Amino acid sequence: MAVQMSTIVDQAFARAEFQKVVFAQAPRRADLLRAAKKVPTKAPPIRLRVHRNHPFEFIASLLPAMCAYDGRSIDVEIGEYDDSLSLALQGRADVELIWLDYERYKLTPDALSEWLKCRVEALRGASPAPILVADWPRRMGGAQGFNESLRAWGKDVPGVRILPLDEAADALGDEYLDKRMASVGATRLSERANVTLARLMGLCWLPAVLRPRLKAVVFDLDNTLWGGVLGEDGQDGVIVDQGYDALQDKAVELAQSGLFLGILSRNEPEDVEAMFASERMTLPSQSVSARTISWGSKSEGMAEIAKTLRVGFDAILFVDDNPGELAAVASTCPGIQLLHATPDPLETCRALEFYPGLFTFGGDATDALRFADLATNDARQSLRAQAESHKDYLASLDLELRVAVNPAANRARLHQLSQKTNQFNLSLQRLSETDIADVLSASDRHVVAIWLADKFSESGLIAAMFVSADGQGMLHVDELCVSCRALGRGVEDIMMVTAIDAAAAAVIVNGGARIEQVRFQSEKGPRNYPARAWLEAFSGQTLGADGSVTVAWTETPRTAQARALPVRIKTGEPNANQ
Amino acid sequence: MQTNEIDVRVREILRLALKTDVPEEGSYAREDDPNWDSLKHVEMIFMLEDEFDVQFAEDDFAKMGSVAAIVALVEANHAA
Repeated sequence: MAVQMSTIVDQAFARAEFQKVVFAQAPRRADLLRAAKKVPTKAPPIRLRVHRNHPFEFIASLLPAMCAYDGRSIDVEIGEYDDSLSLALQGRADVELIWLDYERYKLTPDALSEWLKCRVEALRGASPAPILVADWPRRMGGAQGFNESLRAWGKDVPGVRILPLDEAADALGDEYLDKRMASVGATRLSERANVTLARLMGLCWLPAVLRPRLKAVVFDLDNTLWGGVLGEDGQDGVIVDQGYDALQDKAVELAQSGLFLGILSRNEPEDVEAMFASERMTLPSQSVSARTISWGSKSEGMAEIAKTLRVGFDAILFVDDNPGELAAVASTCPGIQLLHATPDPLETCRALEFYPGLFTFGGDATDALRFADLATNDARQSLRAQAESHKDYLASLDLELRVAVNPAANRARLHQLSQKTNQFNLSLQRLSETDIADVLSASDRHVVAIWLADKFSESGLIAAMFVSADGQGMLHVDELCVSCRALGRGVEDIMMVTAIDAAAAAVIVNGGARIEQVRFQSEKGPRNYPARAWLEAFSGQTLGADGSVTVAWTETPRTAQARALPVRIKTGEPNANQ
Repeated sequence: MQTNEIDVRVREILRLALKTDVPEEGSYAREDDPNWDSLKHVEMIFMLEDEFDVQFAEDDFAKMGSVAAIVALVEANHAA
């Protein structure tokens, strides 16, 4: 255990050192290359395939360093210069990147956008990997309209994300280009631009398409969200200057982007409450979804916060000024992400701008629903305590379930459910957006989506069941994902029964046989015990060695009990995209 | 900054940029190293400008073909 702890401490300190280089205001290529040599990375590497008409090499050579901070290695396959984007593909890539200098084309912006859309759709048909498309890093003339058009059709092609190079160019201003380099390197990008774009690519854009976003950022307080120690310096003595204001603003921005905020601090709760109530704080108390203010260990406090937020440790970033505390929490909270808060709050602010797993390509309507669900949990608990039975409890909640088969407009949310759910994800298939688009357009496979609402909040689209039929009366449940927000109300059975009924009806509509048996497939993962336990209880069987279980689809006492619950069932997609 | 110190730092930058084993002393030139292509040359210029806080003139890029030439250009830029 001591060896393990010392390893964790060493790693925490090594990352804190690397952090200074990666999150510097203007990182230097040589420093990045030196620092990356000291950090171990996990195999297998990310395979990034670049389709381009101008140099990507000056960014590519920095990506191993950026990805190393994220614990990953990367292989970048750069194609020949090709204005026609002929898309010669050999082997599989994890991510496809379209990297074009649009100034080279003689087409009008509209015609160029239309042409590019056709090429991206061709790439979509040839590769299942997420596709990143660089926009035109200019806001003047036709570029602005071109970028708007790009973003409009980009939403319609599964798995496509548009890279906002225009924002990076705006931020750097005149420093974005370095015309001296055109003659010797065939590039007009400056070194500042190369490093900026490499940091965005390695720490923001690639993680955003390769893994689920983090769900929570938990802050220490003393010397982290403010300068000084509240217990010693008092409310008027701690520092909340421009830098700490900016950091607190950043925390608010993270909350607004859909992340939970938590506070984990060794302090007197009354002192902290008074500080938050004072005008000195930019971060309002109501932006914080969970807090542990006590003199107990931070490891225990973090466990409480994770439980309150219903998220795993691996979905949390912990920010603290004390590397020892970071290491101690890491040793008991497996998978937790760590960020060292340095004495310069602006540095921490910048780290939060680029920390892998925080960036998102777009606002997510489900984020607001997640907050509403969490905020109303206490009210549900209170009803549960008062109710005489589970049935009474559900009746008091005024629950409504809505099911829809193949709701194409919700492709992105279905993708999210497959990628993000852990506790109730039966076979952990982690379907890509392209996989889901395939299911949505197939006649022999279907996805049943389930929305949940009660009198306290709309939970939105909270479950997805992916099924296929064998034509002989067997329905295969290939994947089943339920958001943890929907768990705990005791409606899993009625959700599944309703979903299977809807799937069985869809099979018949598509010319299939009446469903007589249902075969569930499961895969054992580190955190999906709740899903597998539910399946054993629901089927009344022990899962087979291959993780599967088959049930006759006839009414049983358990399904009858589920159907008798006081839950309104509706069909069809809701009008608004919930 | 002393010429010796510049020489040591230039060689370290070349090792990082070219990913090759540049000797600690003696002549070392572009024709000695097949890794030293035009792309690596640009990366080397980027790193040298950062390392020595200088900005080379575009006309100088082609002259930076050896350790000795680079050291001389860094000294000239510092003197200017």
